[in-house]
Amino acid sequence: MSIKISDHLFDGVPCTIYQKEDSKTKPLIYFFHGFTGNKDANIMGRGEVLAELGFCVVAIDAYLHGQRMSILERHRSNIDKYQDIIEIVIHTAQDAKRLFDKYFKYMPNIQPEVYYAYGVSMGSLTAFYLATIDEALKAMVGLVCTPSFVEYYRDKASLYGFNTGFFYERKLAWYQPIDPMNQLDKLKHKRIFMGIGIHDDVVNPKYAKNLHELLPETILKSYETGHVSTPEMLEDSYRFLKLEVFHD
Amino acid sequence: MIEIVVRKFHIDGIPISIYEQIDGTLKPVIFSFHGFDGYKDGDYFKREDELARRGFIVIGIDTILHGERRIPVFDSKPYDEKMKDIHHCVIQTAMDAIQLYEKYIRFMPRVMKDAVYAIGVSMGGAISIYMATIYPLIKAVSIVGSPSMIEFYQLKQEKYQWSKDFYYERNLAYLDRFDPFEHAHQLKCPLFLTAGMMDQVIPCSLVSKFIHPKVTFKLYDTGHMPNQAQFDDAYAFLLSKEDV
Repeated sequence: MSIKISDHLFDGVPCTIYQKEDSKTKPLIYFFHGFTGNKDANIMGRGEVLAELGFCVVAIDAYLHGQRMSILERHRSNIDKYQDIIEIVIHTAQDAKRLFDKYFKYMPNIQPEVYYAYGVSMGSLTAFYLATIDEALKAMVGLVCTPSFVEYYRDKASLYGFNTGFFYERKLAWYQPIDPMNQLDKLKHKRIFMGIGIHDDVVNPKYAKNLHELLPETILKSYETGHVSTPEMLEDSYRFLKLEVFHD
Repeated sequence: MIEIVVRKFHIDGIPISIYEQIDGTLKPVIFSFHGFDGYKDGDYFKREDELARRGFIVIGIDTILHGERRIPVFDSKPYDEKMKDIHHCVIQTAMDAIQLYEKYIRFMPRVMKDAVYAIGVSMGGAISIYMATIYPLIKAVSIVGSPSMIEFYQLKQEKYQWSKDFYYERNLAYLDRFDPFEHAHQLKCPLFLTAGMMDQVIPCSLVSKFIHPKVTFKLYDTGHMPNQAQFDDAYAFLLSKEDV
């Protein structure tokens, strides 16, 4: 069966929707891309595969990314933009929550009660944060992932040299109470699959391992790779979703 | 000589301008919101300068999808199509302002704690009114802004002949949760509303309907373009000690 791909703009948020052209009501799954990426270039075939599994896949451009990038943002260096990575995550998760609540759950082809998320790198953090703010998110996949706001931001700030000053301190203080790592009671009822590269030097696997230690019911799989979604990782993530969502 | 210092920067992806006199005293903060299709600092009444002269720390921010937050995919749409998302801009920008205040501004030097005001023109007035229903402002002002989201949206549907499609219906239904007119009991502070007798964009009847013990309404012999008298009355309202 062919997959229909369509572009939309909801509340100024560009979305690409992938779904099988049949009359079935489908569970929605968000696809969240990584830092400096966009919804189209970074999905790399996963939209079609997830649609083939039976999902209505909604890939959205993260805040300040893709078609949501203003001229001002285009002129910022990646390191400068990195200072706002957690705000990008928070804003995008809030968009996803609102769009489901305002539009998607009222679409006749979409199951209205629950939805799912699939995030890669920064997109995984979006999925983790979304899981803490929306009860309707039932299960998620995070690849080359991090569930941490504070520790992750602190590490990146040290690496890139923006780890001092008023704004840095205020950001850290703001992240502390809403960090998914400090919201375990909100995560413990979700089904979570994490895939990590043991040689990942972009997103250190320690953040996912820390979460798994605190919530052993999460699934953590390590792969002999770096900051890359390997075919094996993808297959495992699809198998997880098939089992969790379609009981297959 | 009164010197106003203006600092412009962006934080969390939001471009902001801060106007203030630096004279060693603590000052209340006032957010200044621009109108639809406009941008911060772009008003020829120069209310940011004037409010800074009168003792406020003035925060101008670009509304989402406006000013330096414009994105081509939205900006290239016709004016009336963009108008369909006006309330997303209103709600998101009020939340942006609250977050900026709670996260950063209240911790900045010279900021008087828990003394926050809001003023806005047209769509910015709607932001100011909405903010007054969700956050403990000291006072708020709306110049030619609509206190109603639902009726305003229906009015624009008629004006622009929008199809009553899924997008329209979902936006209309969603406004139930936010419309200040529907949630007037949540109004937390004195609110000054102005309207123009000949206003074709926000009819004065839409504004005068908002009858509430905390609301002061004044009608002017203008269209949608406000006059100096509206700003002068707004400044007097903001600086008056009554009801505070």
